[in-house]
Amino acid sequence: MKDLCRPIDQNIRPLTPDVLKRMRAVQPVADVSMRDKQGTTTQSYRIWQSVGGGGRSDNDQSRVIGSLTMTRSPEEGGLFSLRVRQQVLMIDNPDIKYGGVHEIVGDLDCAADGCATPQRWRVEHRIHRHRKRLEALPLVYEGRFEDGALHQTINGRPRQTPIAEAWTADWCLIEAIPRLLIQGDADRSLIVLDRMRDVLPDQRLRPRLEADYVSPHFGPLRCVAQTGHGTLPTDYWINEAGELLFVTSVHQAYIADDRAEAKIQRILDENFIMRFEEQGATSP
Amino acid sequence: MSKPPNILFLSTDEHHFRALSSSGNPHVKTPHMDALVASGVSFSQSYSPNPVCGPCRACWFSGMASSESSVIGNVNRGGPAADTGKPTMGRWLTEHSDYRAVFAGKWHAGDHPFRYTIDGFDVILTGVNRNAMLSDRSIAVATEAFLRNADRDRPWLMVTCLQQPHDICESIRMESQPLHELPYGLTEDDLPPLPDNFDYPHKNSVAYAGPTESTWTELNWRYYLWHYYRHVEMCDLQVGSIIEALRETGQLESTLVIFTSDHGEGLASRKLVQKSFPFDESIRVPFVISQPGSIPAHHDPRTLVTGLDIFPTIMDYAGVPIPDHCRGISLKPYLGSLATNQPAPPDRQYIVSDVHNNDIRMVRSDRYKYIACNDGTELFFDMDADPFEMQDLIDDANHAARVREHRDWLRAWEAGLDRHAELEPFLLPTV
Repeated sequence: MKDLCRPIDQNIRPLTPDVLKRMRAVQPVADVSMRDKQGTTTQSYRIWQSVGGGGRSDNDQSRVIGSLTMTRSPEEGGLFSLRVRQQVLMIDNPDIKYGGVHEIVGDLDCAADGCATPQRWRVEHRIHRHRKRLEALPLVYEGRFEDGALHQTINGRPRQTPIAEAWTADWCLIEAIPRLLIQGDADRSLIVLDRMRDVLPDQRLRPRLEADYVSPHFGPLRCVAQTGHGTLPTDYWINEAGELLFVTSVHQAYIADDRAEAKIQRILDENFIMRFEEQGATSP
Repeated sequence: MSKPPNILFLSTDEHHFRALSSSGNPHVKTPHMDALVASGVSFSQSYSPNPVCGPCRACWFSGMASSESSVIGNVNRGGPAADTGKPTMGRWLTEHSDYRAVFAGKWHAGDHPFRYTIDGFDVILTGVNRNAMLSDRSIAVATEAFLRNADRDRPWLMVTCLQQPHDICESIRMESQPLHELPYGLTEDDLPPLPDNFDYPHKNSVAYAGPTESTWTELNWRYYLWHYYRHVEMCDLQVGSIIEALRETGQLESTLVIFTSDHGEGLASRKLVQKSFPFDESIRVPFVISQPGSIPAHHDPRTLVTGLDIFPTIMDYAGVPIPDHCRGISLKPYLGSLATNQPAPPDRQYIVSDVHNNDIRMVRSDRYKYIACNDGTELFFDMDADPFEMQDLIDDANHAARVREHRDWLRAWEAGLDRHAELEPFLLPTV
């Protein structure tokens, strides 16, 4: 009987930056050293998944499945703004040419504190099918953090959630974790607002000293893990410059890639699923 | 004439029947599913008609048994509608009523897991193959967007098929090495214990060996259980956002919610993972039907239900005739009777499930489970006395009459099916 769970390659897990490199999932990482950290910066990630362990077999569907782009701009009054765009491709279908895309566009104002705590936000979900946006299905999450409570609306319907502990949002973790690590405050608990909507209690950040290593490709890397209610163990990989280069969780990775959005556009234009061997990466 | 209810058919994927905190499981927190359980009728004895993704979904959406739909495995046959000429749930409903039928998520009913063209349904979004972590959020958003913008003058059927906790399969694949030390600061106290039947052997003709059996340590097994419950909790968040959308838009009382899963998960029973075997871990699933104000909250520990009942139940609530090819029954009369002084459970003695590529059948009666395999293997369990299925009574003389009775039921069931021409008949026991 076919062994449904047998991994294809015993030596490529768990996912680490160098494992991703070996699996040809990593393009040359952007040179972040020239970025103006006081001004506007943009960081993009390719969302990538490995299935079947990454080896070449019928079971392997390792590929690009989306992108995340975050643009950070300074504001006054101890705040900075974060503009976020995430696209998730849903093009696994044999019957039509294009399929669907779930696009999320968010504008957040965050406190310049260790947790990059959101203060105000507006997140719009756009569902595209066959390259056309489904205009009849608007969905907008808005909110502000005020007087120790989240004041949220979904399509204008209000709700309020008291929040007494330190908190942040999942997108903001990408900003917050390098900051907390530098401040020596990355070993802590906090609440996470999942997709700017749902409160995830009991989230734990912890530097994984045992996982830190010097990569031949990326230099010294430090690892901070997130665990907690409703969360698969997630590793955030930060380089010496304090840049978050990778986020890995089970078989999924966010990989720093300045051309991530362009690749998604290419996939949509050419209508093919970009597998790891098709990405033109350098040899492992 | 009053408007019939809206109907939300909400499913998870690979959901063990006890992976809910409302079932008393202390290793998982599922407040949103718990609320759903508390708001409606929760059936403890609910079984998948075929405990693999594709075949089960073909049963749901065609109303037929697997050997009729021909979908007996996760293979692409074109789907039950294409293969049999019988209408899908969406087609039948929309052709016989004013309902709009909408679909989001994983289809996989005998053909490709993700389709933008499904007979009778308007598909708003699919999912990401083998990435439930990411795509369930999108599926939930699509559903929420539909529910918050739905036409109030026309009834709808919204089918939302979430993909979690199926990603446990990926967790298993990513954890192939022997584990001797726990990562992430976890301690053994954080991990669920192994089940009572962990070391109890299975029979090869009934279930295949856990692929990790040879390399996994006890820590691996317990870490896998811990992982599984995190997948379930991720799914719970999506269920919460969907039900909340109904509540916040004032549609909860006017919507019949059916919540179930396609199959269970081995969860280390007999050192098995995943599904496709007839033991309860794989084949028994959560099943809740809720409509606050119309259906009283009730926990039903005995009534046997199967995924084949979903199609006829939906049609009955929609006021649509139930097609002759449906093998399940409508649960509406029973649910309606719960509000009276004389609840009337469905009048049936047993249910039958197909298992693993037409090789196995399971017959479940009120108290017993009979398993028959194409190679002649038979098993018989007293599910009240032995819920972990560790005392095979097939050769117990005290149960010989009951075994015969279950064999006869299986023969009667098979004889009543309109078996697909391309399928070999199931080899019934010759005893």
